[in-house]
Amino acid sequence: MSAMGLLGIVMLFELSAFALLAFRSEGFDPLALLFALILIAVLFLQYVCMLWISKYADRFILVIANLLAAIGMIVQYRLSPDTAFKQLILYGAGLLAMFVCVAIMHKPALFQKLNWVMILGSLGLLCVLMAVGKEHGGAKNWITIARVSFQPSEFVKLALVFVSANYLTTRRSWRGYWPSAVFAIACCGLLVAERDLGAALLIALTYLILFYIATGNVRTTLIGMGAGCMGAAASYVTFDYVRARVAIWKNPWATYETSGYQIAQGLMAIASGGAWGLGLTLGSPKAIPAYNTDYIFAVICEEFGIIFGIAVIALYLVFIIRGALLALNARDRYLMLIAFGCTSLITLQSFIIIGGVIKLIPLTGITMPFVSYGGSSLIASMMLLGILEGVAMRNGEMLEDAMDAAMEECRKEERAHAG
Amino acid sequence: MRDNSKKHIKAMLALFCAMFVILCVYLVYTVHAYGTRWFTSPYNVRVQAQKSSVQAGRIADRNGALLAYTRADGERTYAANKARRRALSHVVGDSYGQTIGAESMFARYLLGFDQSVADQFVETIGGQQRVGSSVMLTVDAKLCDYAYDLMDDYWGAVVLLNYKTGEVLASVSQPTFDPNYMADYISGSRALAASAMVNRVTMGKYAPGSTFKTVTLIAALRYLPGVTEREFDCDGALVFDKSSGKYLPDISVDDSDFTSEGTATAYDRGREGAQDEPAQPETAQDIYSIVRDYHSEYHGAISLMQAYAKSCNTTFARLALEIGPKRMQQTAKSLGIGDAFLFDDLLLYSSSYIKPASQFDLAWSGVGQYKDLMTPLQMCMLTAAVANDGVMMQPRMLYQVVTRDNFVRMKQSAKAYKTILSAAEAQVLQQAMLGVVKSGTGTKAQVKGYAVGGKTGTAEISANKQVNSHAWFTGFVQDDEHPLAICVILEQAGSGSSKAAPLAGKLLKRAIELGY
Amino acid sequence: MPQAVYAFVVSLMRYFFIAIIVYILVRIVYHSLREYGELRRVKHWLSDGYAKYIEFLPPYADEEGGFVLVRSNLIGRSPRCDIFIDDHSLKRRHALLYERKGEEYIRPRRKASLWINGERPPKRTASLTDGDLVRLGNVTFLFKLRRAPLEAYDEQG
Repeated sequence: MSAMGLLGIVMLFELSAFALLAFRSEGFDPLALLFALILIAVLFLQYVCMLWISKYADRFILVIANLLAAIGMIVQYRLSPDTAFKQLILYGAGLLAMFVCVAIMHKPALFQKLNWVMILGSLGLLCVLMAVGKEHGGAKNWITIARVSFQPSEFVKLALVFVSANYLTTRRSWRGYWPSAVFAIACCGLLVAERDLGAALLIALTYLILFYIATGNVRTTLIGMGAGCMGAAASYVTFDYVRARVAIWKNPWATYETSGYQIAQGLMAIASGGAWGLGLTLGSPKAIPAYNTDYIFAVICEEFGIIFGIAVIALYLVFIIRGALLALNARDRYLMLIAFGCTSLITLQSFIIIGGVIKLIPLTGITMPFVSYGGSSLIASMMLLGILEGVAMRNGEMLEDAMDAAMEECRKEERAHAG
Repeated sequence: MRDNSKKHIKAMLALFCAMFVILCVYLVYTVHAYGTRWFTSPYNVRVQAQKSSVQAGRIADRNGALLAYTRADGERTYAANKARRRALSHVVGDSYGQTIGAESMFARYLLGFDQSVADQFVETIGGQQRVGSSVMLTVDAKLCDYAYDLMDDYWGAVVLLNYKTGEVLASVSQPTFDPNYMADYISGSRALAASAMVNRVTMGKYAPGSTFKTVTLIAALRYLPGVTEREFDCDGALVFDKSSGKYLPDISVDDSDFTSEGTATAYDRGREGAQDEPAQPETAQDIYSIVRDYHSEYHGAISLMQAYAKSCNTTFARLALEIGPKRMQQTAKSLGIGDAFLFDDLLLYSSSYIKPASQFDLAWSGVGQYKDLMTPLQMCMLTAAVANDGVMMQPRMLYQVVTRDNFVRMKQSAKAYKTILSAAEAQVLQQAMLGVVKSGTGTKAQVKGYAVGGKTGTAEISANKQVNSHAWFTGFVQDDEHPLAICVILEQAGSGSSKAAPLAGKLLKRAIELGY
Repeated sequence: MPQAVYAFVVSLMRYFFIAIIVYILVRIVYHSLREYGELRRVKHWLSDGYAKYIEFLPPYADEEGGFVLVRSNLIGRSPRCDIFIDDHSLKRRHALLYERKGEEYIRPRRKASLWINGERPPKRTASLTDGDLVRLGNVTFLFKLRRAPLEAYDEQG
């Protein structure tokens, strides 16, 4: 059941894409091939290390995550080799963070001890954001420390999953888990105040999902959703930028010169690609604003085609299904909630951004997990992958323990018979 | 509580799967439906970018007459004959993305976006300049030339369709432009009439006037049983209260106070530019609004068919009042008025029927005034559907796509858009329309030896005496060998029966002679 | 590379990329389904009280008892194997024990010795049944697939 064959194909994909990029201008660009070799080596090492840590690691989500990251970097390299190299470095950092998470997941209870650290840390970061945050695309979501900028909202997401899982596991009634609800609402509120609507939506929905899973209390969940909808409606009425977002969702061509420009360009790019795509380097992706981050899916559809785009969506879906299976097989409740919380994060994030790009839902400013350019996004996603791998390993170990116990019973019975 | 968690997870997982499936399906659907529209948008830089590496293919009419080609030095050039260039200017479009004609709608073929890998291979190996495919349109350039000639100095649109296949055989919109000088128009060194780049055939929304009586007739047939047997009394103006719009059946007025006449506009196609006089509303009588027949010619006792043939406003206004606003709107909607069209070959704006608020508005809307708006192409499609026993065909502009070695890559086939009438209704309407041309207001559209049906229209656009009405005629030839449908509108030309109908007749005659 | 040729190669590669990613997707789905099926089977067995394990005979029988078989297990002399025995008659990686569709198979590496119940198996890969005596080099173990009538494997963690 080795996935080595699969790895080989992924490596072939990366190699051929970069080879194509290497010959793009008149001369030969050796950096492209170097990039490919680094990616291949990193992929191989990652796979081997993960399996060395535990044979129960989930190789397929590992492959999917790395494939998505590779697609992202291929497109980044095509757009601008400098950002691609930056992305590569951040990818390395993400891998380190991933292995750290895997290590911590050896003892998941550790996260429970860090509960209050995470709560205060998240709220603190968000408040700091309010104060000194830099604006980017209308939302204040960047903090710069010593020339390094990052997005705290990405890490707050993960903190939310852990905090909610913690409270929803140990306490069974409202008196027990109200702190998690308050935390979620607080984060949401702060994010809305900072105009980061995508992250607020993500946090609200993830919390509601976890709440529903843990308690099965349909009524309260629906009340929560209702409150959320009313909040959304209120924000529509009060904030003009929300109104603007909905207006350009309905008809981006009407305001082409100003606000609808991005969506219109994205749609034109996707339509120009057609089923098979225009071909790597033969499109004009730079016409789309935010081609690096939010709209990278449109660039993929333009150059690789819609069939490829659908395959990417399918890869996300397989990742999600495997994540949910990890949650279903989890031996204890805490791990189950963590696994499903992480899965929900990836689901919601990818659905919201892809839906926004194809104009299914209004556009929000969040990134595509693994694929988009953005250090915080990539590192947080890799940490998420590490957490899921940790859950997979714990699942496997617990299964093995159970099988050991069964074996012991058999042997005991044998000895009883023999003796 | 534990057991349920697993069930909830499975439920959420199913929800997630459904969400992603919807994502995929929506992506495929939206690109399939709107992809052409987005790709051919004038804002799409990729089309322009492709021109640097691929030489655009040729555009020709259905018989091969050359309408646009790229010269050896890379210049895009149009037909040699100046009149032909102008006649087909809106159909062919321009190469600067200013108009939506064949150049942009078929850019996919002309610029080689759809070239097969094998062809690309051959071209690359041979070291040849990449050339896009050539496109043959369904129009006949000679017919367009003739229509352009007939239109003379009037602004407006003429469109001729084959009602069995939906092919557009002629489409002329005036004011025209000369595509060879598009760069000059853009830079301003050449003057151009203000709305010259609007293709009035597909994008001109006009008050349909009496041609809308066809819709009222259909509504009457559907909702007023026995209406074909009834006798109508057309003896004077219908009077409405001015402020509330309510119908006042017992009051009669002298409607000489309400007449209007006018003069034609000044557009000389020999010069560029035109003066367009804005309409000035005049204060009419303060108490009443009336609906009257053209020049107050009242018809006395007539049947429904006669009223249609003679285009009696009074009768049809009364019918509209009986039918009611909701049913009028339903009928309009079922006939495709208000549909947002997503055709691949052309960009057709929607027509509209706004539900009238007062009875006066309702009466007026029944005879094609109030806020009724129709595009000439839609009007033609409606007539074509009547002639085609109720089946409205999709209008096609693309005849076939030919590769550089004259291999026919794709030939378009006829597609039905919608069935708007039952065969029985269509029969009744065909008879009605034949009556118009045989003995009613459309006699000038007759073509010797053929049964021609149609409807005239004189659409008032202003109460101002200085502004003339639009002249409409829409009709068809009842003959399987020559399944032609036509629509003519001449802006501010006056009477439909005296100005538009003869033009239609002549064009139909020429089309039949050419074998369509 | 001249621009036209490059454009042509890129056009060709479009289909290649699409084929690769679809293949990767299909392969992942296929393997996932297989893995899911096997996991379900394992849990089924456990809930019925079955256990699948091997017991080494002296001199390698140890106090711990048996080795439970989960997924695939590599047996050999190298410490990196899942089950490692420090005996010189074994190769560094001697044989692989794995499960396919409910059956347990053993597949020795090339030229690695394998005896099942005293005989050489006809094909390189052999299936094992409960009670088989397997000999690799000088190391012998019993393959057991037994059932205990006691508590079923419960889902509580």
